[in-house]
Amino acid sequence: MGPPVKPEGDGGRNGADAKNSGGVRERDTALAGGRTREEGLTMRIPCPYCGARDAHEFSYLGDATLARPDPAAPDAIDAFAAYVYERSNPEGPHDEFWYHAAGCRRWLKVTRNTRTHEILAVGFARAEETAP
Amino acid sequence: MSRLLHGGLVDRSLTLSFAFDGATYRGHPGDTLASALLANGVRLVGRSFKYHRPRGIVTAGSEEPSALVELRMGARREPNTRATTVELYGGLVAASQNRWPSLSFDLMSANQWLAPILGAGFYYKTFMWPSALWEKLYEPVIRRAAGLGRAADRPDPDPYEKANAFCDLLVIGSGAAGLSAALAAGRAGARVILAEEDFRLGGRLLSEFAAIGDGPARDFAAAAEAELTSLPNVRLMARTTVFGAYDGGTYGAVERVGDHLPVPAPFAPRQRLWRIVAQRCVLAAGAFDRPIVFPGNDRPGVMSALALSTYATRYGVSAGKTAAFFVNNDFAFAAALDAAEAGVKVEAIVDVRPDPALASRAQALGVRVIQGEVVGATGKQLSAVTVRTPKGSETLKVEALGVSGGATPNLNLATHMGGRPTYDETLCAFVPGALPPGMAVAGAAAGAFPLQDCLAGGAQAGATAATDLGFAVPPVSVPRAEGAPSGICAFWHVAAPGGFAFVDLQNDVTAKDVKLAHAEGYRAVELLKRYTTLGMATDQGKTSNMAGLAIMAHLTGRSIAETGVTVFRPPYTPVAIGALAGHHRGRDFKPTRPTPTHLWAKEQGAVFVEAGFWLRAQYFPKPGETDWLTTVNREVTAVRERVGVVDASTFGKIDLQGPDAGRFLDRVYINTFSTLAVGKARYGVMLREDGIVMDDGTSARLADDHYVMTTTTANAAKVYQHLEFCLQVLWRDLDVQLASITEQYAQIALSGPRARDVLAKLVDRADVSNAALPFMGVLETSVAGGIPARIFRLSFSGELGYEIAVPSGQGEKLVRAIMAAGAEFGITPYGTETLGVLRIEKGHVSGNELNGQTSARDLGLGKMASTKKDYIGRVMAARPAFLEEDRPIFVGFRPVDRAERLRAGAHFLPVGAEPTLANDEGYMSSVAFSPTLGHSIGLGFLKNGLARIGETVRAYDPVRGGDIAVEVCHPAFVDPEGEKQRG
Repeated sequence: MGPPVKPEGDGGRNGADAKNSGGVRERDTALAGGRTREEGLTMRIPCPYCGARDAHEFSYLGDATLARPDPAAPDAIDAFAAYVYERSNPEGPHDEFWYHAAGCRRWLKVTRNTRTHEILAVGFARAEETAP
Repeated sequence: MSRLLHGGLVDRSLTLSFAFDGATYRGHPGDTLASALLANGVRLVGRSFKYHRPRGIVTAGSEEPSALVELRMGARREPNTRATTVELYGGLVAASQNRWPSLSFDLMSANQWLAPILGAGFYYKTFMWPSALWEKLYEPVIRRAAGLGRAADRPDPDPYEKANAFCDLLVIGSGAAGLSAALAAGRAGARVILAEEDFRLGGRLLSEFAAIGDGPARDFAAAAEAELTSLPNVRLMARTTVFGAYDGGTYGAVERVGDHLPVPAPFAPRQRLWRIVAQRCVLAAGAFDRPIVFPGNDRPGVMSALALSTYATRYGVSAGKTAAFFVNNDFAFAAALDAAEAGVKVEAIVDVRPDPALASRAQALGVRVIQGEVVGATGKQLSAVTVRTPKGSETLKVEALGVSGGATPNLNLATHMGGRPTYDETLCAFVPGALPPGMAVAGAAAGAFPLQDCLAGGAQAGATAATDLGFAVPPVSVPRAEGAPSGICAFWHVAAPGGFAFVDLQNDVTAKDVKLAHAEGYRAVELLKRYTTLGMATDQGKTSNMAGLAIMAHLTGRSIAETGVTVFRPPYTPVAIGALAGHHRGRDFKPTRPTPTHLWAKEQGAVFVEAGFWLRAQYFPKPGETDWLTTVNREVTAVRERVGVVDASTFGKIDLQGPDAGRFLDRVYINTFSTLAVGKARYGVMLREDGIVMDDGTSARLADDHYVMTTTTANAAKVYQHLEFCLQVLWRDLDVQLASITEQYAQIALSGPRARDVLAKLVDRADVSNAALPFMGVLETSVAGGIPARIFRLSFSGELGYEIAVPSGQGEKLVRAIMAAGAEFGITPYGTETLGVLRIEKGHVSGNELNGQTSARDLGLGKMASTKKDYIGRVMAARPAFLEEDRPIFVGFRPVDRAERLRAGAHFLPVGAEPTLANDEGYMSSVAFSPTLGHSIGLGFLKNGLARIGETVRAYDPVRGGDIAVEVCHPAFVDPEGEKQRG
């Protein structure tokens, strides 16, 4: 046996030590699907299933006009680089994905005015889907 | 005593006792602290922020800049409370602020003699250097001298809560306009919320003697309140301040549920934070009476004309034995006459205008009218004012002076969404410009000052809102109100020599400071604000901004419209942090999520740790174990030599069903799952689309079209969301349904050489031999006397291992059955610390390695990737940078001197190399003391690591002073061939 060893951090028995020692099989993070965000006084999104709900029930993903490129195309790596990294920052109406994490778990395509936060249109990401 | 003989809306039949600065006074229900202090002749209530000048009560509402007091004592002590909004209760205790040693004799008032050098920008200019002194000397001294109240030094003992409300129409303010709007919409059947910051509905109607219909204004208010109360679709919320307007018709409001009581009622909060979602809103928040700037205008006794009148009419209090008024408009003139009618001894009304419209009414009441300007005020508490008239000057011996420079519409909430007010030359006031969607403004807040216009405008706004929303609105009849003139003559500042002429009372900004800002070039209103701090105090310049920018407009020769106005942002008035936090504090900051075996673990004396959302057992100390490491070493050894049990329920579990489930998994994992046999499990790795590893876990196939996936604890929600994205957005053609079943199943892991012996006793009938249930096998059966169970033969520790999933309600029963069955084999419960040590000994990657920077190849998992299919992240994982030979690769480390301790976060350097970024070769990600090996071990990433096994590198940790030689080794310290888990 070597000398007594404390976990990293020298702070005693607490969660931070557990994390730093590499001892716990998860990342010590509070991020999870938008559910942890403290309720803010934010905009409202009219979900086609659930009705108008506060934005804190949703997770944001971003540009909904992008399509996943053909992975078999010869220039796939360039197309994917653009798909993964390149975003414009438009002023005005913007089509974007929102996920109703604390509701129906549908991915929505929302048209939002980035200047005013006005929601101009909402539909399912799966276009053929319709609300009951 | 300054209480008038009769009148007012206080209940004189009841007496309340209260204390201010240690002295005891009496007031009545219906009083505010301010009215009760004035009734007791207390005019000096505080010292000013910068110069420590004596200050008194200036307004009768939430715009108060001056009368800030510390309310209550001990843990409930609340600083900077406006005496004008504090509802009096029996036993109330308040104290003045910012004075030393006493309110009456304040040594810091010497500051005012330094005023010539303490002007605007003084601190910026003077304490420039040496900069080292700023933190140690200047700032502490300045903070001590300039300040407001003291916050309580103990935790707030009272509860706060949050609530939501939804309505068709939110009406803000309950004066003539607000009541009319609520009545019009409420009668039409709309769901109306009427919010009023005062404890009594009525607004200005409570304070003016005008007539509405055949009776006094306050009778109209009472009748309207009674009718609104009778309507089931109308909710009246007094003591509720709407403090912010937000997107989507959302409004923030704070309701003072228990602030008018010594302590909140049982089971009631002190304050409640409301999120009100309203289809429409009518802002009917009235107007502020603004000051005229003249020398000595901060003497206690100088106050707003409308406030002086309100104290007389609403509270039956004369703010001084004798009073005078100094006005430029008819509203304040009428208010002065109301005060005289209520019994205040009004010596004179000084009006800057030659022929005020109400002069004859004044004459009828025997009130003298002087055309002129007040040019000075004297007395530590006001004793006299000097009036300059066309004929000369005159001294009036008065204790109170009511000043009015006109009405400033209270349009604060109308600008929260970015709308800019516009200036109306006729009204001498800014009126609302572009409004937040769904909002209308009515009454004085819209600049429609006359009472008749308030009634009509409010009714119209309420009816319009209801009509817009599809309600049938009955014909609106507006009662006739006594017409009062609304004349005003623009007048802001008395140019006269001598003494301080204050613009902003709360921040001690004088007219001279505005001139200095002009002279030094800070002429734009936003610069004026920041340079002089005008309007930056807790009152946000509600009453002072107009005079400040009017003086600047005059100095620059521009109009007020050209000069513009600074914008308001939420909150309208200060909101307690406690109200914003609600019940989310201490242990309740976030929900506690115990595992299914929590009660059992508690019985075992477990120490718990917060892991993501969960509260998990960290280790299980036995009596006599004083050091946690002793406990963990014992637990690890028990697993390696016998058997241990751990709750693994926190891992994310996702149920996948549908004919395309296998194909779907092939596209989200780097390896193949469609070929997995039914009754088998497989370890899988998922990438993000950029090629970085997102998560890992096992998925088992229960039927051709049915899989169950596990994820890491932390990523459970993220992975679920990702899978839904793939199905709903990327591959709409796949027929697969998902359900999160993390909370539906308890999952208990057994590990160690005796695990099978324990399991064999636990199952009701099944054969769990190595042949019947091989490594990575899955069995659906029942355990512990009929509990339906899924048994997965998996190993995270490297030992023979099983994970048993049962309905979560049965988890506690299962763990007790496991402990009973395992007793003869020496079964040992363990927690997250031992879990971590076991996986580090085995060389498994975990959260510290799946850190958002590592590819599958970096983690030594590259060979798992299928080359026969596409999957998320495949294309980007092949970027040249990910394939470079000297990318840091996952390997193990042990100290060359086995007695040394490794540190996570240390960086690797070649032996003998300088510690520079260029020489950096990677970093240590996880470390543990291995009781199995008897020394410290580590996992990490080293450039071209796999090719360097056996080499010695330097683990450099300058933050904690570590610098030791470590040997590169295979990451699996225990059983690298994996024989134990397969046996």
